[in-house]
Amino acid sequence: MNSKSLKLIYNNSILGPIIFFVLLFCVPLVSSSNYLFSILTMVGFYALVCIGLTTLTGYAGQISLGHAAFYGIGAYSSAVLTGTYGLNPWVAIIIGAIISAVVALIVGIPTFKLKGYYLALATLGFGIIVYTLFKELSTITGGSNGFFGIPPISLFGFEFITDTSYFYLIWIFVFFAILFTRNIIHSRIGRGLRSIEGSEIAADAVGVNLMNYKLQIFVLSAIFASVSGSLLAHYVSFINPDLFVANTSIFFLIMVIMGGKGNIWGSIVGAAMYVLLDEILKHYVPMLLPNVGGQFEIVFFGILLVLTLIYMPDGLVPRFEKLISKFKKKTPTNGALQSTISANATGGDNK
Amino acid sequence: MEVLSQMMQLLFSGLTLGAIYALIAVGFVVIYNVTGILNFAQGEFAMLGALTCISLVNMNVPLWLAIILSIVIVAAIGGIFERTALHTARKSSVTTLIIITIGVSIALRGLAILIWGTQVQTLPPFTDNTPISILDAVLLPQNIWAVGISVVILILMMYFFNYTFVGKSLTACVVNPFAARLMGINPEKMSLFAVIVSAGVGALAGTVIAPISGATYDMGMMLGIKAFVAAVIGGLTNAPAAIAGAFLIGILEAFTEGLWSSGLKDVVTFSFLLLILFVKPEGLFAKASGKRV
Amino acid sequence: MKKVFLSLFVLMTMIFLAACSSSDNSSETKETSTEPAKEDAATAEPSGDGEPIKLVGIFSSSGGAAALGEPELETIKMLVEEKNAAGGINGQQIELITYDDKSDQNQAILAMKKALTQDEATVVIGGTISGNALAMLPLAEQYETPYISLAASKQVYVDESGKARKWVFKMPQDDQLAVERILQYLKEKNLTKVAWLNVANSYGTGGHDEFKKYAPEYGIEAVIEDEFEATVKDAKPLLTRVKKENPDAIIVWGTVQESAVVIKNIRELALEMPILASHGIATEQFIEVAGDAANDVILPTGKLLVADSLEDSNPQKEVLLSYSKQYTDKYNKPASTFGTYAADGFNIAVKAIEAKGTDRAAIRDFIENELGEYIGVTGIFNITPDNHMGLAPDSFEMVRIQSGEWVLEN
Repeated sequence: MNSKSLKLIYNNSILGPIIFFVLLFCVPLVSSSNYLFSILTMVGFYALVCIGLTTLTGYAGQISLGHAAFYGIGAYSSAVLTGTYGLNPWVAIIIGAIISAVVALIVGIPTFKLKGYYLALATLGFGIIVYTLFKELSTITGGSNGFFGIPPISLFGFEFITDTSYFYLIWIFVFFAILFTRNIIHSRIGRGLRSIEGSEIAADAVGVNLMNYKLQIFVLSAIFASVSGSLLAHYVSFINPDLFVANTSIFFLIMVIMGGKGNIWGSIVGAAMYVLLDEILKHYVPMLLPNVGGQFEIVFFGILLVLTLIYMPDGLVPRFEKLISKFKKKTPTNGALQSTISANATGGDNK
Repeated sequence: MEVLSQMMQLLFSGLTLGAIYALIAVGFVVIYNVTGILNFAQGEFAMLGALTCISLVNMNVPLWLAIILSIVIVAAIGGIFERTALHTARKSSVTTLIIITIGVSIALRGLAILIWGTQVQTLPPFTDNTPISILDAVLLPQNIWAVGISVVILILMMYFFNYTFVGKSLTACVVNPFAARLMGINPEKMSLFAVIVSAGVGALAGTVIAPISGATYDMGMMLGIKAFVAAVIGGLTNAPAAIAGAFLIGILEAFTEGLWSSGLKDVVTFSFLLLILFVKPEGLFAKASGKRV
Repeated sequence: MKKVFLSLFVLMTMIFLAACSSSDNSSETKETSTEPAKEDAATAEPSGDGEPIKLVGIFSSSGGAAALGEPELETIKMLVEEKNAAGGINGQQIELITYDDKSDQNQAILAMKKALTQDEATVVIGGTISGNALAMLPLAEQYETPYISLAASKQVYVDESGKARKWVFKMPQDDQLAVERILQYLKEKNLTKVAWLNVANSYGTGGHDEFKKYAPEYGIEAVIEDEFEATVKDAKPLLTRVKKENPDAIIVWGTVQESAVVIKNIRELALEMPILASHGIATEQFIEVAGDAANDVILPTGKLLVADSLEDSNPQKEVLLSYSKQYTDKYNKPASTFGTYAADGFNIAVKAIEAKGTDRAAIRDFIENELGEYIGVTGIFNITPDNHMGLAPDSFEMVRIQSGEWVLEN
């Protein structure tokens, strides 16, 4: 991590997030397309998971290929508690988050002794076990048939049913997740974590309790994923285990890496790219090649992913930062960065 | 006596499964050892091998020639993959490289749908496939082929890494690339060579599997993950250990399914994996090097 | 420097494309005459009066269920092309817009939302697998658009209280009908102790649930019930347990690939009892993949495979043969049962639009009340306000595979 990005991290101004979210929340004023809002809502679900995951990957230097498990635990907790036992959805979200946190703690303690590929594999294995359990515990989860009839979420008698209202709901969660994560990064934990990225051994030597920091971030990311899953369950009203396969975990990681790991904005850009790219390919590929199905979209997606990473191994947002700082050497970096990112993110979504 | 024959049957099935995993696990290990990259597209090599071979057979190419040709073709694809993707991005972080191989596997899968469609296809068995009965348990010639080929590969790999110059050079590249370069070994060339070899072995695996379970464009993913598990359980750093791990996983799966439940088979396998990772992360059969924890 | 430019270029292109496609979205009130995804409609614009006929198809033509979704997509394309070439519906061309949900539930939701709000679909056909259909249908209800589902689960058209979902119709037979057909067969042959094996996915467990529900009614008892993976390589470990129980018959409930592996393994273990399979294997692929092991497998299936051997008096015979010929001529491969669902869905939609124009509520009411007896490829439909599927058990025939041919059993 170079000094420039360190400056960014220590930037406590919440101007950037506020500008971004004000712009985002103005979108309903200029458009009333339900399709657009369902896309943005989908981006919100993914972004919420990715914010946790990017902190884990970027600051704690840990890869997780098992976050779909927490996403699923959240979704199924909400589904079962509200659908079967008629609990209040908000209570269910909190219970789901607590379950995820406890599971993350239990899994995390032995897992974070591992490194690199071994950690990736352990989390992948954990994810597959949880997925299999969703499938096999069919008396509770409905098994492969899925769980149907999850009630909508409501607040003070207002039901979140329309796309626009759900769009606000999920992005408010994302907003608070960002603020919370920024605070963590600025705190003692954050400084400790960055020392891991620099040199784990050195950090260890000066008495930073790495294990603890890593675990805390892991638990936090599990909670984010779980809340996102809960909200998804209420949004779609039907879930099945296939939503939470190993592939989903892999795609979360793809979003994080594409956006730029360790960069909170990167997770939003990554999630937006993933969803938008799909929609764009769906829209334009049939125009270029009228007689093919979705196969070309898959090929394009794979190739674009590889190309992006070959030419921008740090992901989209860091690459953007570099470009901007090249053009605007005089301006302080942080202001430039935030306006760019808002411009970038909203430029894609806002029109 | 019935119990004995059931046990025999489970053992045979386990060996077959193990042989399939082993052939793919070998590819993982070779690439990992030389380049330090875990290649998530390894299962796709098997898929490409199987489907190419089927197409060739449908064009009336004799089976043995079709197998050889598909190995060559897939090895070439592996070479292109190494040059265009892995080599270009070799300076990137581990995570980025993982995602790049995942991206390649996504693209290859899409390509396979374009070429072969989505229907399952099949390959005739290598030889006459009349079941052989041993103690009331049944063994198929194709299964013997699978086990036989992976044992041969095992022996070849042991010989290759321990007794040939190229093999030792490959190992040297991992242990210390700089020193290897000083000794006149070119790690980049070795990386290309490793990917070509493992793509070829992967293709062979595909042609062995196709007669047993059929071949589809999406067969690579699960094969890859299971083989990956097998390699880690055995020991990621050397091929024979990975092969041993593969047979162990195969037998474990067969016995779980035969004596308990097939639905929870994956839970058992992956729990075993986690156990190994937590207790003996260097793998059951590899020598400890203290590098992984 | 080169890299910087390239990446900048890629990024800019993407943002540009994103902006374009979403600006396209927000202008939903405008008539998008340049709708790029429409097929074959470029030849003639809708003829002024009324809304254009927009048919949206959402199929899983890639991903896990691709083998099912592909023939559905191809069938719809073929039929729309034919209909438009013949002058369309009431002189108006059909605009077909198709999406691939990649067998992914979230993609299906987005596609459905796009279909309903952007494309303003007249009718939506699709939802290849039950999971996707179940995720899509609340939207159809919300936006009050007729939705013809091609997924098999009964939940698709019946809600929790047992009533028909207002806007949803379903083309394939319920799994229940296939299971009952098998049970009936077992009862006739007096094979009362059976082994039940299903694939571990929603298709498999769906069948299993029906089996558990109806087996006692027919006096059939399962001596062993278990499942196998969709990616099964060797099911012999599982079958050793089946062998111990020595059932009168084995039911293998799955789709082509995994059923072929399991049935081959049953033959290899020289288990002699009759094998019954689900309608999910009723394609030529199965015979090809399973080879000799396919012989003497008995299964319920729609009439497509045995169309030739139906009696001439059978009202479906002509429809079946003509669909099968048309599909094979066009795509050079045998027709599959999944394609027939799409064909029936399309034809029913066309009948409704012919009678009522593009008014969504009128189309729905027509299908529910006025369609009457419709002789389809899948079976003879009698859709009523209480039954939005409308097929009877006799839409299934029991078929035995004999030396690579489908032969009517009994």
